[in-house]
Amino acid sequence: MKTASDQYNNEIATAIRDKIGVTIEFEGIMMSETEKLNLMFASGDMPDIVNAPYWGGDTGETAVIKKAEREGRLLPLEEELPKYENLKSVYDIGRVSQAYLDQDIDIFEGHRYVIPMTLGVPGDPNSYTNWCYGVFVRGDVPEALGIDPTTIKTSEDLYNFMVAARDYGFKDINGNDCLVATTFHEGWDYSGYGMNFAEKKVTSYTQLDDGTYTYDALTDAWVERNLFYWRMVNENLLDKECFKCNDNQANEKVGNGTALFASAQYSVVINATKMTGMYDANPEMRYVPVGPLNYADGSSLVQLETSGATGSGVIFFPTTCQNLDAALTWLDYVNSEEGMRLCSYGIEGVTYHFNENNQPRLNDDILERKIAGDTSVDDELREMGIGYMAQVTGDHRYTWWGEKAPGDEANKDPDLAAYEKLRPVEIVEGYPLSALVNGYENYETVSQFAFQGTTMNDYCQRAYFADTEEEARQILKDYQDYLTTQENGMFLDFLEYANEVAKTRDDVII
Amino acid sequence: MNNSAAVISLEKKSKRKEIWKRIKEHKILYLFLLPCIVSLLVFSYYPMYGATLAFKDYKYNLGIMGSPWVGFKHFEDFITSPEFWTVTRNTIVISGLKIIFGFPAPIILALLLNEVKCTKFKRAVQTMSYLPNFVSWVVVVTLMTVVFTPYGGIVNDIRKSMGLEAIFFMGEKNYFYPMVVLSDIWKNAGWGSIVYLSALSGVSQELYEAAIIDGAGRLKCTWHITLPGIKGTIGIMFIFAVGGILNAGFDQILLLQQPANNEISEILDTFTLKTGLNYGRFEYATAIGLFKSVFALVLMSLTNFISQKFMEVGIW
Repeated sequence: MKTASDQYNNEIATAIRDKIGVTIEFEGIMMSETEKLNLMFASGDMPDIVNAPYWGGDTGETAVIKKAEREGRLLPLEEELPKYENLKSVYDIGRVSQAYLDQDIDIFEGHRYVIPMTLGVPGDPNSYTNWCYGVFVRGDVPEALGIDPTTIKTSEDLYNFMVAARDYGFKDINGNDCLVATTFHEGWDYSGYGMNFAEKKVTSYTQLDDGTYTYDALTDAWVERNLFYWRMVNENLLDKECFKCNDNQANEKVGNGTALFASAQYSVVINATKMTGMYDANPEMRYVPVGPLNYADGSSLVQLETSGATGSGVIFFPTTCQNLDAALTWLDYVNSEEGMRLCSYGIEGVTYHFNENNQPRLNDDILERKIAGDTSVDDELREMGIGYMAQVTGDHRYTWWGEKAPGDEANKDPDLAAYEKLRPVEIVEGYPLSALVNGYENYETVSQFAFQGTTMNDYCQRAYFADTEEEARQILKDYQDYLTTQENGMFLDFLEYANEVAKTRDDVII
Repeated sequence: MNNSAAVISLEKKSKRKEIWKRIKEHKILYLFLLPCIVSLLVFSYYPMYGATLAFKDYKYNLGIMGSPWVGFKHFEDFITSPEFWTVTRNTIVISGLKIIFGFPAPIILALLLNEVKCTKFKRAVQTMSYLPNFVSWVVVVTLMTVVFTPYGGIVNDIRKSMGLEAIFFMGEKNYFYPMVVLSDIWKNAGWGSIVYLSALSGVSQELYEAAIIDGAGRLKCTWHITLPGIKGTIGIMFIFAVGGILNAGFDQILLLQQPANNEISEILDTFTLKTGLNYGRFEYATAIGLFKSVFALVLMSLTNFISQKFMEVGIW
């Protein structure tokens, strides 16, 4: 993360210190979070406050943090947080889901060690960030082919659209040949191309016609979806390099208009074009949304969220924390309206003013530079301490200010704003089956061979590069066999448990 | 008996005295050894106590020494894991190919350079061949990606201009081994040739002169004088190469891995990273590392034995 070069004496740090007497120095990491956490706990060299991912279950960063929790390396918070006005509600149902509490937070003999971050606020759909995932096509492509991209609703429609684009012979802004479809780093997010095969659900479990539950990867639908990706790779529709590319390479392909289709968050696609100035020189190439595709059942695609987070970033305090009270005082303050406004907008009169609705807005000179794409303004604000200190627990920003990030209201890309309406956030109530199954006695073993690591990805991506459909199908079947034969068929036993445990609640969702 | 024992003891004492005397005499020379000894102790011997982690159930709060022992559990987990044979086979195949094709490359390069008479040209070629050694694998693989990409890479552009189809060289399984071996040779052959060039400089010129008088040509001189002259160096380098057979080149392979070649490109080191280190399973990763080291030691001893028997060259 980027911080002010003087973290101690910048305007915001000074204002916070004057107010509560605490100053925090941030240190970003340049390696994988899991590795860093491991290194930190193993060496005992830990900061006072740590912000890390905690997506639930027993994989990745969550596994490391849970190990630290079990081994007494973190400070318990259950008696501390009620003392702080802006932190006392972080465990409220609606902010976090019951499943998150049951499976990942309240599992340490009555102690709670982590503070969930950037949570939606109950009853406030605007508090959820719309990530605007989707498939986007270079604007001149549908124009030239005479296709209305908003009519593309099925995978077959998308496939035919891509074939037509491939055969047309488009060139990028440098006059080079184009490739058809790409993604950003390491295939993120090629799944967008196959969303028409997906069901409208939040877990990796499927309910069969007889009412029983099974795992997605064991279904025919999973095979068909992956065969669709195989077809895309095999017919030169999907960028063969995308599974191993980094964001710089992807930015180049999208920013130069070399990729006709891109699947990721819309803002990421737009940002890639800003780097090359493609939209200014070739406004007709502006990427526009395709569809959005429908779900397999024909319903419209949405951003499905559970009511209350089932995983999140968290803040925790290692036992080496020298002053927990100071740390919590600081976190409490930056989560107050005043503190968060200070961290986000800066100082009234200097960097922002209040509008007629009494909402903070960046001063015009700053806003104009932002709208003009002058990124140096962000550097200047950061040097003042603005923009990196806010550590959000319950996210009230939209309700308080009518915009989540400073400048959003005036600077928001109109295409992005329109797309948010096309693929809105939808909240689903219930207890996810994926959280319920954590109680399986050998869950750690199942988790190791089925959910952790890259095994599924390795098999799937190998299938995409198979020479024939039969070969691809066989590789996918091999993965299904791998799942069901590991540890003497433990996964089948696990699924039996999932079906049994699902009967214990009437609000189970998949 | 007692007398002879006393004599041996006296001899030992006088030998020790002799050694100390020599050390004192050449103390400055021995001082030069000190940094090497310290670095060996600090970086090679001191961390060895960490190898005990392979036999422990590691707990953050108990540390390496305090964590409970679990015997060979992690070795069993590794050896019985479904990936064990694939990963071991891949490692040996890749290293084997590197030895077969990559090991002779610096020798051939050194022999060729040795035959060049124009000193300036020779030095220029030498310098050029050393340079790739200083380029990191990240840069090498990025360059390869740019050169071989099917989307505007120079190689595929040439193919297209010849009416041929573009090939995804970096991603197709059939091209993985050639890519690994050739890039390894490109990067390391020049640097590796230094040892052989220095060995070549020790071969007596008189032997060549005598051979030429006897009517030997260049090839015969190379075969009968040069190669036997550097036999010892080749033998020692070969023993080291075999000892490192389970080090197939972590960074190179990790960067060259693609979905299509994953089945043949997963090696012990990348497997350790993915299943051990990424999940905080330090003990499991250590067990794989120790397995590698023991296997390498056995191989190295075996090669040393064979080398001593047939080539009269050995490292101990």
